[in-house]
Amino acid sequence: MPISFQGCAFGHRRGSRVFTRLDLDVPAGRTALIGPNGCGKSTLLGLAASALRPGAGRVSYEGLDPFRRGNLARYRALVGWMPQGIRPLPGLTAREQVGYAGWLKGMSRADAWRRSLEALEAVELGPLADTRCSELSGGQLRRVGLAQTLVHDAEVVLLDEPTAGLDPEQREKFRGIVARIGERGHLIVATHDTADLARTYDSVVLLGRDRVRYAGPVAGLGALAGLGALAGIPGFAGEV
Amino acid sequence: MPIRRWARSSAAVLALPVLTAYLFFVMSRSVDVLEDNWLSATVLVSSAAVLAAGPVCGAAGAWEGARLARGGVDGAAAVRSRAAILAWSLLPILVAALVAMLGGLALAGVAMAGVPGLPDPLVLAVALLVIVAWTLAGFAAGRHLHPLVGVPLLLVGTWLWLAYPAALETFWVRHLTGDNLGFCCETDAVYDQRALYAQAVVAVCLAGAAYLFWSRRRGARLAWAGIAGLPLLAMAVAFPLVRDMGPEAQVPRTSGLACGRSDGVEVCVWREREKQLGTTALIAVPAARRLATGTGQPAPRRVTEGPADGADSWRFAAPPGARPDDVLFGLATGLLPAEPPVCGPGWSGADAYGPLSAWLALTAGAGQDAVERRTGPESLGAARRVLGRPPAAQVRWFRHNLDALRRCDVSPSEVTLP
Repeated sequence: MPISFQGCAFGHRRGSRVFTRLDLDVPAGRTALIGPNGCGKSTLLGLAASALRPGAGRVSYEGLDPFRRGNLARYRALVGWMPQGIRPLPGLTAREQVGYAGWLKGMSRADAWRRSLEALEAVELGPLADTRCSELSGGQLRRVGLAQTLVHDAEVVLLDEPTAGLDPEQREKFRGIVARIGERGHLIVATHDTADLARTYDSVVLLGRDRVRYAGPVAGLGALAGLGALAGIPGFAGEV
Repeated sequence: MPIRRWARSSAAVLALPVLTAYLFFVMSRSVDVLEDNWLSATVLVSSAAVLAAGPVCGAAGAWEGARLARGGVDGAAAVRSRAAILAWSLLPILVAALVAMLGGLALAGVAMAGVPGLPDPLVLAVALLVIVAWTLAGFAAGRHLHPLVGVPLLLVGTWLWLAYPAALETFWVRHLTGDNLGFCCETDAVYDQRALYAQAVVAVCLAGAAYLFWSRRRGARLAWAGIAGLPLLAMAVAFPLVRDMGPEAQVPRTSGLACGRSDGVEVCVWREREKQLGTTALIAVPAARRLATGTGQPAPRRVTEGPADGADSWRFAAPPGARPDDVLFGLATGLLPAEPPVCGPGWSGADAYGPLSAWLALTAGAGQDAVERRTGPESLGAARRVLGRPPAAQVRWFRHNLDALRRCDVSPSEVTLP
């Protein structure tokens, strides 16, 4: 199992628990993480990225626990994470931003710089590599964020709402890019964009309040839809 | 990413011209009054660099800290350590400060052309440490403050801390800041190391607290203990070092003399003035003999700009570019007490200083015009009147008035014209 959550508890503040005990194994391949607003999708990805530390329990990738002594850097080098809000460093161009992200992920400056252009080309932003991030549109900025997760060849890519706020054309483009990423590694995408789940993803995790309501093949979600279990998920049409 | 790419977007690009211009402004006011020794040049450069670069680098650090916070680097699940991220962010700013400081050294080097010696690396290192500390403080503040608040706050706040204590009557505070206003050092003095150590301690503790403040994680109680404890530690260590110090951070110099023999007398000058040793000896040795005869004491075996006991060795001070009369006057006044005694308000011994100086200088061989310029016509007149007496009477007059300068219970005699 690439990513495993065992007895994970997490709360942002005292008295505000997101998870009290989460047990989940996310299989290899492309996984969609869906659920109503506030159910903990972003928190789950933050835990998987090791940006957040569980109050109890453990997160691991291939048995590697990031919070065991000496593991953190090794773990983080294997994981690429695109949080919901892409916040570029003021003054940087798209390529500099991606190169800096690569350096943060442990690459040498030269390697990060070389790979930054390849990552931007992978998200179809090559021609805008020398444009300042402040001049990019929201959709282009999200693709810069995606390039940041790709620049260091992560084995696991975590994307938090990559298509939120994009117009239909950009969504379609994004889906194509996401599909290509999924072909070369493990991909977990937190999303409200449930159209074409079966075409884009191999498996799906449905989160409810403080629990996993479903984890398995996308096809299995159909039964839940019939039971009305998907009500409350914005944009979910009831079809899989 | 190539370094030049990173530097392009750094606040250092703006900081470098500002701090260079301010540093040269600060230095240009003082470079003409440099003593002829490299220590005074070093202190001038370090003070100017700290005063210019401290606030500018603090403000630039605040900008960089805010930039990283806005870029979400804090929560980016980075592989790089926090220390590496911080170092990479601040490197261009600190390089800019170093470049400005080297520019200041070059300017001082031009003013010191031909003077033997080198800048004092310890003084420069402490100045750099102070600049690093304020840059880190700015960086830490920038994590939480909007740039519109953090940048001016650090710019003004740091400048006030560095510049204002020098105006306070409480002297010890100024020795903690790193800005010495070029108060050190005359050629016969060296930097009081206590001030340097105190500045280093304060800077290290400030840097440590700033780093902990920037890199702390949620609920890290140990980090908060460090953030609160390091400033207290700084005061506990630095305050005892400097509390007894006066306004200037200098102590008498004891090494660095260049010596030679002339007519059986050893003559020593500070090595910065080694070129003048021969001519100084030709003036000082005969003058010392005349003074010994005139004051009724044995001739010295050593005449020196360094420490002297006043019996076997006599001290003189010749300012940079001294002329023969300056050497004679320095030798003459070297026989007088450097400090007055601590007496009540009725003490009149100071009245003897001018006439004694004039008499000694004339005895040493100085010209009347030169003596009049330094002591005034009254003192010259009194000295000339005494010179007209027999030698034994002159010696008595000299000893009595020397006592008047040293003791509270002796009044000067015949130090004014009738």
